[in-house]
Amino acid sequence: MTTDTPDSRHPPVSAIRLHKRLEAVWGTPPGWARLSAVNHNVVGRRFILTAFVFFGIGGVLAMLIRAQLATPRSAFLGPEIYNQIFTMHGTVMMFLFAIPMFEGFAIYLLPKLLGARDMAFPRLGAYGYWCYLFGGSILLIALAFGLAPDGGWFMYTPLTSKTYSPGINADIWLIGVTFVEVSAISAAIEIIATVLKTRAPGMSIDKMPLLAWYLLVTAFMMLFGFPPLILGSVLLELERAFSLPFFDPTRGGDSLLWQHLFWLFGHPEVYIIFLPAAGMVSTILPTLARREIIGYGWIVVSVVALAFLSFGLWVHHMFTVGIPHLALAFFSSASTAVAVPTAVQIFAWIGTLAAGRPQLKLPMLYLLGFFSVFVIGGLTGVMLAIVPFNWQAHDTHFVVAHLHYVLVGGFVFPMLAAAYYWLPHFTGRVPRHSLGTAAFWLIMIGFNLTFLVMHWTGLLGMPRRITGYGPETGWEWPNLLSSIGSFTMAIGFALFAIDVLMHWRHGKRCDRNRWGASTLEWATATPPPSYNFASLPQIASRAPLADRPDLGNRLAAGDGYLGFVRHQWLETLGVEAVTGRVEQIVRLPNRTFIPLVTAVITGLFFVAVLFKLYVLALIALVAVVAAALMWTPDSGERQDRGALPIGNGESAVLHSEAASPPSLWAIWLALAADATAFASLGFGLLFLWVVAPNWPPPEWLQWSPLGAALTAAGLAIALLAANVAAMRRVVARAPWREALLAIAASGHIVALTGIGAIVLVTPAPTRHAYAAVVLVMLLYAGLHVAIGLVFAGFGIWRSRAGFVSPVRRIDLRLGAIWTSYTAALGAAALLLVFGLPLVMGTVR
Amino acid sequence: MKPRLPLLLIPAGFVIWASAFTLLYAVLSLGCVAGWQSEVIAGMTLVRLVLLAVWLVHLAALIVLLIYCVQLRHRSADRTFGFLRRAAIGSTVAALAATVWTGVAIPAVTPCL
Ligand code: HEM
Ligand SMILES: [Cu+2]
Repeated sequence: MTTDTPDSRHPPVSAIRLHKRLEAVWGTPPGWARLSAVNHNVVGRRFILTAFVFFGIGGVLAMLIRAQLATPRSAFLGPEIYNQIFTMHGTVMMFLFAIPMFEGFAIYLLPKLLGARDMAFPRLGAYGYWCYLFGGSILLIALAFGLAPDGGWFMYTPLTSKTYSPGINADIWLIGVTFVEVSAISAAIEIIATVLKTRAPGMSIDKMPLLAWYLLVTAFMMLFGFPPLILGSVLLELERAFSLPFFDPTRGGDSLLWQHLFWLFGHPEVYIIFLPAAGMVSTILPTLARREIIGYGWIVVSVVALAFLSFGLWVHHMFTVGIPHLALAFFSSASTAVAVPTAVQIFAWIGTLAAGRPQLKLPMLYLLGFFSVFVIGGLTGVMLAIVPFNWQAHDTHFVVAHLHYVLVGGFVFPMLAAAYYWLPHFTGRVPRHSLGTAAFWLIMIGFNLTFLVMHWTGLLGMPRRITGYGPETGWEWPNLLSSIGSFTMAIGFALFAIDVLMHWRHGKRCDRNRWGASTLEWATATPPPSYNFASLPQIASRAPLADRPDLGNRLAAGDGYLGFVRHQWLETLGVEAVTGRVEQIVRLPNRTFIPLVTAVITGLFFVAVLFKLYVLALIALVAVVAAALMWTPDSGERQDRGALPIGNGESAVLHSEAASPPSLWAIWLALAADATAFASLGFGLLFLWVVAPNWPPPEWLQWSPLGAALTAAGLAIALLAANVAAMRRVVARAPWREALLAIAASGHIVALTGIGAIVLVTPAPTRHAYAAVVLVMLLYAGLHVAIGLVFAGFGIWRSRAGFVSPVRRIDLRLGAIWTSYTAALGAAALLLVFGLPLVMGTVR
Repeated sequence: MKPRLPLLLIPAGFVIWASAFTLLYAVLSLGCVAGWQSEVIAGMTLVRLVLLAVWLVHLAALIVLLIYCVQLRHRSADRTFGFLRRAAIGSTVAALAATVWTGVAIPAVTPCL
């Protein structure tokens, strides 16, 4: 008998037996089966560990750079290798260390902070991890073979265009990084859905731990920040592979388009890295200051403000490219304004310290390091935001120094503080020695020696990204000092790694809640079990553990919600996003190899593109769709179950029967990211039209009445049919809903035909950027229509297989949402390709 | 009265800021290419006039939003909604300040140089 009576007024089992039953379904068995893990504890740890390995690799590359620059006219690395090394250093640190470290941290910690048993989409997390690992590996293998990208981490065209980078190096960057970004977007969707939907009952939005707010906002930034870069990468790869001239000024393209798309991502990226770190600070600092943080509401507002403002200043990386002064003023104002919300947070931290009784424990020491370094970085940032100074310091080592004060101060120091703060939670142990303090001083002194001096070399005019310099420049002494500093820092990091290992192997055992924190993650056992909480708490304040210090034991004894195992299901609770009222039972999928398999096929697709095996790539693409369909049977139910007991005398419906299941949020979020990519494409078209040389194009798109009519009609039919099919009254009659889905499918086919007809009359896309963008826009819409076709077929299959009923309509609703979006996208594409020439006739 | 999606009130102000920012940048770029700086209306170039209009419309929208947020009433026992309302007011004020700050250069700086 595996089902306990789900009534926790009479706890049916002891804490130990409950643990065993839960572990039997939630745990991940050893051996090969570990590759099938989807549990967030496992996936999160993998992300963190892998990111740390990449940090080590990026660090070694930094040491090589510093070794090269230590002495004038060094012959240590030739320019070819050197270019690869600094490019890979930047790429690894930004894409393979900082972002994934944040993802791993969020995946590991969020459910615990929120009082949940796992993330909302465990398999998506696992898939994201494999994509990250494979994408990163592509880059590393290339480095080992001397084929790594060498155009700098921002890959400026035309240097990275085919003419100047004929080898495979640039393709490796574009493909590897895009692969990793697939994982970043899936992590963003997962984080948002988890924060908004799977909190503990009673945790209304104002009672969320601040860290959850930070992670939520960061995830939103990723959702809108990454699509422009993905789009830019796709366009550049299309240019390199098929000679579509998006960035080639001789054929109507413009290199500046790349810079815009890159920095549209690249600047928010800096805050995407900083915000989670600030969230760590806002969590660790109050605990060690022994008081609640000051200004919870102010911090929330300033984080939101920061997220938005940081998108409005990408052009400050392009101040020198010749943009009207008034436009510079817009971007300069946003660049200075962004300092205000940052300052609000700093004042909240200082105020909390001043009002509390701070203890100088090890994590606090690292926080102090963070403060001092980050504030200096912020000040040089304000200097650089001022246009005339920027013109002086542009592309010198002054900028390199600034950026490392911000990145290392703003991410690495908080990350080290977080490591020391949460390590006892990971391992259940505390360190015996004080190696951590020695590591701190080595890192702190080494860091400042390296980069403080670099401001000076920068002001002396030393440009960044140079292989060497002559002795007559007067840059030798500062460079040598800088290199000595960086090796000191490296020793510090090595000491940190040794400390963590020692702690893990030989640390003393410690009890729960080592720091006397008030947030929920410390209510789990340490190390935490796979299911986190044997039962889920009811939350009444922002400091649940301060209210009830014995909460951990009571939850372990089953004295909360869901303190039982029902039908071997993995269950957690879903709440209403604002109030935290219980809304549904979210039944999570168990371990499976499907995410790994899907990631392997996705990897196959990217590798095929890399080696220009386009037939194989197409096959892989179809296989990815097939694999994606294999995910679905586990996330549906074949019968209506009605309300089920959840303990404490309450009950809730399963997510498959709920009005607002997490998957509904996921599709909206995915579409938001998709719309951002499309908008970036529209921006690209407009931008080239207005700015690029060699316009107008030799030939405009011809008006295609038949194509336009077919497309519009097909989209309209699909839109109507898919939406009617998902209506409750229609769903009740199986033949009707299936017939309507079949009509939707034919609508999609008609639309595809129409788009095909327009593509046929598109001018040769290799001759001019105009035709190339138009073609991509049409293909973009076509791809969505094709996926709509898959959705319609999927709906019919789900309907036949018994997954659909008037209360279980989610599959059809998802299809309807997709189809509606596709219709809007198709309409926008038609308007842009046919309407824009009419409107823009007067311009140029 | 409660709005249907109260959570959206927190970012709403900054969405308006973002719209202002995007439109200002777009109008400036398109206007300069279209030669709007040489058409003078009421002592002002056409570009500057349109920019000012875009700016002021967004400022007005923000003020309307702010009034709406301030006016939202709620039972004092509903602390969650009280928090949302305060946060919405705070972020709308911040967005208003940011929009003013973004546009202050419009009257002063020559647009198409
Ligand atoms: C750990 C110690 C580090 C050292 C000693 C170091 C050193 C350097 C140096 C000397 C350069 C300039 C290369 C050149 O312009 O010729 C550089 C570039 C860069 N670093 Fe670091 N770095 C470190 C950590 C980091 C971290 C943690 C990050 C990001 C999270 C980072 C991101 C970058 C980026 C994005 C560039 C620009 C690369 C390019 O120009 O393409 N670095 N680093
Ligand atoms: Cu920036």
